[in-house]
Order: sequence, then C-alpha cells, then structure tokens
Amino acid sequence: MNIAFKELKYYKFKYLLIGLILFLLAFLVMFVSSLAQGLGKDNISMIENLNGDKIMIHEEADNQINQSVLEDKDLEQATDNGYYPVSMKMLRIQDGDGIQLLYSDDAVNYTVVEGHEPTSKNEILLDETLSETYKFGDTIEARDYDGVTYTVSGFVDKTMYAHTSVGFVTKDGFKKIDEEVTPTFAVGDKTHDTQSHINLITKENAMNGIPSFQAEQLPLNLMVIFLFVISAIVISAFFYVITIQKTKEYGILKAIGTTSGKMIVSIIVEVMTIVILSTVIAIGLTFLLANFLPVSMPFFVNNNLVLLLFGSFIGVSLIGALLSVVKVIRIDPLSAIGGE
Amino acid sequence: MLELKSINKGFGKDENRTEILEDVNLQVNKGELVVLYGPSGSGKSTLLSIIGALLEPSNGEIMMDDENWTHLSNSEMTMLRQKEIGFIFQQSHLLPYLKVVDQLVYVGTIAGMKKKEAKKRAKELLTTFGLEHRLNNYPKSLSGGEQQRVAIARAFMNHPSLILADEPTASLDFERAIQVVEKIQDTVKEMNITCIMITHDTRIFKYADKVYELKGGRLEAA
Repeated sequence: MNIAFKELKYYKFKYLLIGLILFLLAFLVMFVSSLAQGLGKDNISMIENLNGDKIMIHEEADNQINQSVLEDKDLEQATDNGYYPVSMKMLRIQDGDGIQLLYSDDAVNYTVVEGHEPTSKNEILLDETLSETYKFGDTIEARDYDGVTYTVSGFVDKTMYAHTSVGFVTKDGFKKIDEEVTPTFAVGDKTHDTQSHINLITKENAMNGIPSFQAEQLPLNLMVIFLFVISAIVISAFFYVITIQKTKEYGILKAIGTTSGKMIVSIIVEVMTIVILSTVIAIGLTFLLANFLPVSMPFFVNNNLVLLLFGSFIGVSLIGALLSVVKVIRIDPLSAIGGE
Repeated sequence: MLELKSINKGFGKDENRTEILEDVNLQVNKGELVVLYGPSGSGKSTLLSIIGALLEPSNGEIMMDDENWTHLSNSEMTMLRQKEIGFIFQQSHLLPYLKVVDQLVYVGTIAGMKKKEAKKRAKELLTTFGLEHRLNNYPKSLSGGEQQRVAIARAFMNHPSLILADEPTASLDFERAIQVVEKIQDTVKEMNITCIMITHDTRIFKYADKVYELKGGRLEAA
C-alpha cells in the first residue's frame, strides 16, 4: 500500500532510526544464536556425524559415551546386530590440550578437507579446528605415553566431542596407547534386546549427556529469548508513540472515509517493511561474518535456525504492532479533529 | 435535497443528561450554500457531525434525496463519508507526508477511483483552485491559504453530494477568507452540491443563500 511507503519516505530519519535499533537487535540475536550453535558443534558434532541412530553404551557411563567400556560379549552382540564398535580415548599431548583419539571402521562420517586418511600406525587425521595449531606433516607427541607420536596426515570437517577435537587413527595406531583396542561404544540402527548393563540411547541422549552442552546452551538460548522480548517491546513502544502522535491524522483519515482496515494494513506494511529490511541486513551480515571468522571460533550459522529467527521476528513485530492497531480502531474521528 | 427532521441529540444519562440539539429542522436544496452561526457551545459542530455521519442523532431523521442517512452501521457511515460527503475543517488537516496532488489522489483511490482517473481529476480541481504550480509540493511548503485551498479541493474530489465546512476561514486573513468562500460558493453552484458552512464571520454571510442561527440547541432563521 502506497500511502505507507510515502509516509516511510517522508519520515525517513525517524524510521531509519528504529530500523537501526531493530537491525542491531536482530544482529545480536543472530550472533548469539550462531555462537550457541557453534559451541554446540564443539560439543556434539561427532555425535551428529555418527553413522546410525542408536548408541550402545555401558549403563554406568551415564550417557557420556567417552566414559563407557564395552566387554567382549557386548561387542559380539553389537557386531551381530550390525553395530560399528568405536574405540575412543582421551590423549593428552605435549604443548597442547588433548585429542579424542578414535579408531573405528565406519562409525563416524566425515569429509577429508585436506590431506588423506591415516594409512600407517604413525598417522593421524585431525579435526579441522586444530588446523591453526598443526600443519600437515607436523608431529604430535603424547604426554602420558613415552615415545608415542603421530604425524598429521590431514584434516576433516568439524568433528568434536565435548570441546575436544577428534583424531582418527588406524587400528595399529590405536594399539600404541591401548594394546587391546578396547571398544568404548558402538553405533547402529537396530533396536534389540541388550544385556542388562547395556543401554541403547539416542543421539540426543548422548548430546545431553555432555555436561558442558546443556550448561552452555541454556543461558545463550535464554539471551536469545530475552532479545526477542526486547524487540517486541521496542517495536510496540515505538509504533505506539508514533500512533499517538498521529492520532489527529488518523482522525482525519477516518473523517474523510478511510476504513479502519486500510489504516491497519498501512501500519502493518510499515512495521513489516522496517522489520524485514533490518533483519535481512542483519542475516546477511551474520553470513558474511561467518565466512571471515577463523575455524577455531565456535560460530555456526544454521540455515533452519535463521529461518526460524526471521519468522519469530516477524511474529514478534506483529504482536508489537497490535497495540497501535487497537489504538487506531478506537480513535474517534470527531475528538481527534478537535470538534466542539 | 438534504432534509433534517426534528433532530435531537443529548449526552449522558438521567439527571446528568444535557441536551445539545432540540428539534432541529432544516431543508437545503442542491446548489444552495447555507450558513450556520451561533455562540460556542450552541451545538454547531455537533449538528455538523451528525449531518456528516460522524455522530448518530438521539432522535430524528436525516434524508438525502430519497435516502435515509440515519441508523447506519459504522461501515455504512464510513462509506457515506467516503463517497457522499466532503469535509472542510477549521485547519486544513492535510497529511504531511503526501504531496499536494497525492492528497486528492488518495481520497479518490480509497473511494475506488482508478489512479489515472484520480490524478486527472485532482489536477483539474487543483487548477480550478489556482494551485497548478503547487502539485508536487509537500503541505509544509505551502502558505496557510494555499493549504486551506488544497483541503477544499480535497473535499470536492469524490463528487460529493454534500459539503460540510466547519469555520473554513478561521485561520485566514480577511482577503484570503473571501477568496476561499467565493471559491466554495462557485464550486457548489457549478457542481450543484449542497453545502452547509459554520462561520462566525458576518462579512461572509452575504455569500450564503440562507443564514441560520443555532441558539440553545434550536435552529432559527436569521
């Protein structure tokens, strides 16, 4: 509706200002939720990439897959049911934090982004987050195992568990720190009866089993919710004040025969134009930023989430505009014009 | 012909009730300009609001030709204001964000006129009112007299059958006021429209076909 755009154009500065505030709010929402997603990825990307929906773990592991140990008979049952066993062990390294050393045939899906698969017992394929610390061909030295070293054979797309990068080695490679190659957990799809001390859990259970995951997601998501509430209030307050300022204009419009419906449409068009422009710019900037941030920065733009946030912004602004709409419906043209 | 039949209007209930209008009868023919005057508080604006489908009378009937304009729904009243009635207020009450020509085009389009057609009529009307050089100006760059002339042109935009003017010259100096009233009179005659004008300015009375005084809620021919 053309009159709404003419008004936006005429009061450019006023509407630009509210647009700027909404842009900042939207950008903050996008940034914080991408950060939450990024931190999430640092916790759960390995679990997300598991080649199956079910995880077989020892019940005492309390849904923490790295705490589990499977016995021989458990393993037998697992392989019988088409599960892939995984051996995973935390390896502390000299001059560094640690790596989840992992051996498995087919349990984890990943894409090699640089270099190649480990071919000998001395090679290790690392999560790309470590590509800033190590280069292809660098040697990693274990802290707790004398003389155990690995050479970096390449990097894979983000594969982390509980803020620790995963490093893939061959079976012989894993033997260097664990002669038995003890299976920690197994991954598969089939539901079946298990030994009483074995639990079949979903990926979601395993994600929530990571203590840092919940602890990080909750406050960040709370922040996002608060930002939405603030946006709703800002939109509400701003448009309500503008509506009050324009009471007389609306009165005139009513007096000359404009229906309330038309005025409401014009308010909604104005709100939507500002909100859509501001959020689209904010989303664009978030995507741009994601390309420039280093890989080690926990920042991940989830397309579905962006759509959801965009939709929420529109919903929230419609709620914000509601107060103005009610006000406009109630305006009495007579008193607005200032009759006797 | 516009006909008011024993219009009553009061506000409040029981002992708090005040009667603003009592048994107001009036007939105005097409092409006639009628002036109403009276002290403030005598109910002039209330009467104008009732005729203008902004207020419902407590009693009585308003007939326009053979149509009954009383007991209408809100949306019927809106349609009436949109298509049949042209308002001219004390202040011009233009929309600040619309250019002069768009002020009229907007009124035309909400009444269902095509944009092209509305633009053509708007330009014609504004030319009649001597504003052809102001078409693309915003109201704030116009003088008070020019603004009021735009508002008057706007009132005529939708070929109304009735023009209601509430002290249209109050904010103008005498010379401008005379010009504006002459313009209203000319257009009313030319388009054969009924016009009711409230004014305090006795120097304007001579342009009216009839003059009425509203006194204590009753209408008397002056």
